[in-house]
Amino acid sequence: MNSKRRFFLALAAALLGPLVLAGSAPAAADCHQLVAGKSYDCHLADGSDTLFRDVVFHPTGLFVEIFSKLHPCVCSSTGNDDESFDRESGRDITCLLADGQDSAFAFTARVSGRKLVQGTAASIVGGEVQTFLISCELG
Amino acid sequence: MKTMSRVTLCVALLSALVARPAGAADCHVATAGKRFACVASSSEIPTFDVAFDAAGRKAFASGAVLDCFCTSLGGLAKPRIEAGNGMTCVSHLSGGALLSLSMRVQSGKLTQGTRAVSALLGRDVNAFACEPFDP
Repeated sequence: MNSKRRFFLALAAALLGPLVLAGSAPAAADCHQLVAGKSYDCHLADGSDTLFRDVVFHPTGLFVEIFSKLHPCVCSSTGNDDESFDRESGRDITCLLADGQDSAFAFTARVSGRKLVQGTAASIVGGEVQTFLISCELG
Repeated sequence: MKTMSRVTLCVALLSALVARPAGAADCHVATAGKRFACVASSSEIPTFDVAFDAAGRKAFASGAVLDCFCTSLGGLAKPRIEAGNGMTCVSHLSGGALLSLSMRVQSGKLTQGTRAVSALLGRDVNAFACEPFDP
């Protein structure tokens, strides 16, 4: 094997190796396990963040306390069919609570390290949806 | 020169593998006016259809009308409200429970789906995935 070929093989291994390893890594924790018992310091993009300062998850990660109310949470799932479905194994979390007959509050985010990214808070009243970006980091 | 072009090729290949396509549509645009056939990990409701209105803001599934919103991207300094491909649709059920469909809209399909009927005192959660009726 000439030195040039060895160089390119080494380069390809260095570049693609992490991708291969990531693909074969053991199953990561689901969103409930990742947030269980944790408290996040959150801010709304519009600056009216005082109500969201503390977003506290239940020790099971199945509920989050927002506005002093418990909101049930579910994780995203994976798989495309009966053989591959893995219910609630993902890192996206959705927490919802009905506030009344036709109103609800929703909070969705992806758990990423110390942060909740792609955070979105939504107020749903009478079929109208108002959304906000919410950014959270472990408190 | 030849070495440089090969290195450039490798870097470009890696970027293509890792990067998300630029300017991807938000979830409303990606679902507007579309219908999907879904399979779920539920023995009670193993299949169901989802249809979206022309704006991709309301979904019709299992006899319910659900209000939908997309995930947001960016940060506090540069928020991109509802610019993401994550989607959550919500409808009220009796007794204070909510029906929710949360998913990603990827390559014309609905993936990573979770259908939940949730209330404080109980939850029924299933995975689902959907293919478009008219790909």
